[in-house]
Amino acid sequence: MRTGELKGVEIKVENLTKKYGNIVALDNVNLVVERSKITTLLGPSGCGKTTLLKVIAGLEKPSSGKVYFDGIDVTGLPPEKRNIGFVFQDLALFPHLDVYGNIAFGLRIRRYQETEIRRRVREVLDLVGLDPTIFMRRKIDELSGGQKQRVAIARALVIEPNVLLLDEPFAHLDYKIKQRLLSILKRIQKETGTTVLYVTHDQNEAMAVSHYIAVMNKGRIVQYGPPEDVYEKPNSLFVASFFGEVNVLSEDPEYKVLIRPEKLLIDPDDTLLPSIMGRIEDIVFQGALIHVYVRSNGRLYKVTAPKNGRHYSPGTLVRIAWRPEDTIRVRE
Amino acid sequence: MAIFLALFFYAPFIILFYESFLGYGGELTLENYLILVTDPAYRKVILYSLIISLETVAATFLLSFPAAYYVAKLAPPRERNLLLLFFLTPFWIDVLLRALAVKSIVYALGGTDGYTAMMLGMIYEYIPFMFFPLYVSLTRLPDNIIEAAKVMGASKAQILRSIIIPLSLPGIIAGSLLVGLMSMTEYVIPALLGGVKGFLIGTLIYYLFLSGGMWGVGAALTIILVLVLMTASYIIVRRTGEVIEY
Repeated sequence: MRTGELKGVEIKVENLTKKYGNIVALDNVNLVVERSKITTLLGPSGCGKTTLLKVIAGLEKPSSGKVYFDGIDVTGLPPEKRNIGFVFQDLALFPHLDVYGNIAFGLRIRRYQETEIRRRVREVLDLVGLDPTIFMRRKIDELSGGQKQRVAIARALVIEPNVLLLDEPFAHLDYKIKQRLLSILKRIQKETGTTVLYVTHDQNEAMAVSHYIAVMNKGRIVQYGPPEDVYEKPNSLFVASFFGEVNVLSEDPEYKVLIRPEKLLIDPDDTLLPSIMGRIEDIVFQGALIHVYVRSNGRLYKVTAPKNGRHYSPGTLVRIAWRPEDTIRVRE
Repeated sequence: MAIFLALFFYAPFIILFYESFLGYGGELTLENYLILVTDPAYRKVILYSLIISLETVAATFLLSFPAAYYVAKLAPPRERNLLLLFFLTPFWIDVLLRALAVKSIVYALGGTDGYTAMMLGMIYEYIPFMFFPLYVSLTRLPDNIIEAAKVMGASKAQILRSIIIPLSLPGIIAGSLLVGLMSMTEYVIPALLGGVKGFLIGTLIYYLFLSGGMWGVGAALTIILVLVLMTASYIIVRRTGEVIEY
């Protein structure tokens, strides 16, 4: 699979609703998944992100609404006609086939010559970073968790799909392997140019991998944009608090003013900044960072600062301040 | 339990084993075994029994597989238990009564053919032994695996052939062995329903012992059957172990 070989489609979903009995899994969802980019569906469990992915794959029928691939209505098209790569949460590798058999499956369905199948399987194994001579004949239960993930990705990619859909594929892996697989995914996307739609509940994964993030809650897309925008300019308390922690500076019935812990300053030299006084309640060290919990007027504020040689001790009275431009105003 | 089995199974089995090597004059011989292979009359009955049992396997499989697939994979959970109950209820009734019921129904419908009546009786009796192993195998097959094959472009027939059947193979093998072996040695149904078409191995053994007085040949035939059954049971136990591991 050479650079840019997969063009990738643009996916558009229009007024998509999916109901299971009385439960509304998707509530009038509209979204454009950009061609040849990584878009993440981010949200807590039960927010409808997996349902949306399955509707796009054709594995679930929407109650109403349309799905378009490059402007063509595919809503009624069965999954086997959509030419998609899908990596399932539990991978769903075929236990009775070896690595080669799993990856070759889609190519055999497409009636490729065996020599061509062999060439492509080798190529895609190289792409996901598994040595074909070692792994081709391995049985599935002889693979580690990370290796299984790579086989699942290779199996999804080998058919040169219009779009690669991933349903929380790295949820059960440890941090280091997850980071490595995320960077592999990014590299693969760049090299192949395919469209990727990635589902996760982990905002760090979403931040690390995405060109665009669609935050979902209760069957709706509540915010869409590049990761920095969603992080810096959340449009609701839900998005703000889903994307890391926030302190509430003030609230009235209509608006809340929020600030991220790392934007708060303790005893800054600039005395003109807006500020409040409080007492340090607890201090937590985390690598190069220090988290200071300050209580003021009964409210607890979290301040995150780099370790800079300054010493804080519980019980001390401090001034916490902020720059007005760092605050986030959300309608609630 | 051990004493019970020793008294009623293993002791008679050892006696039969000894008996199977006794000639007419009481001398030790292999003739009883050889005659089963060489005498065309015996060969015919054994072959015919084998065909009937294969037909029973094929018929119960073809009827059970779609039903087991529906109950395991397609039916909503509430409906599933109801269907299983519906499926099990007829089998609380004794074999003999069910065989007689089949007989009355076949006659009432105007059929007199022993073969048809016997086959219906066999299918009726053995279908649960095919259905349940298949059902268990299919419930263990994750839905995601079928969905994965679908998104890779596989048609329903391709999914059936290359995913569902290979992955339910343990159930298919267990069910086929159970039905095949039990139907090969079935005595009651062929005797009641088969008429002249019901002369199977079970009937043959009955005649050899009780009418023909050919205890040696009867014993030899019984020993062969028991050994085949034991080997098959061993395979089933091993296979079932694999199912559980998988």
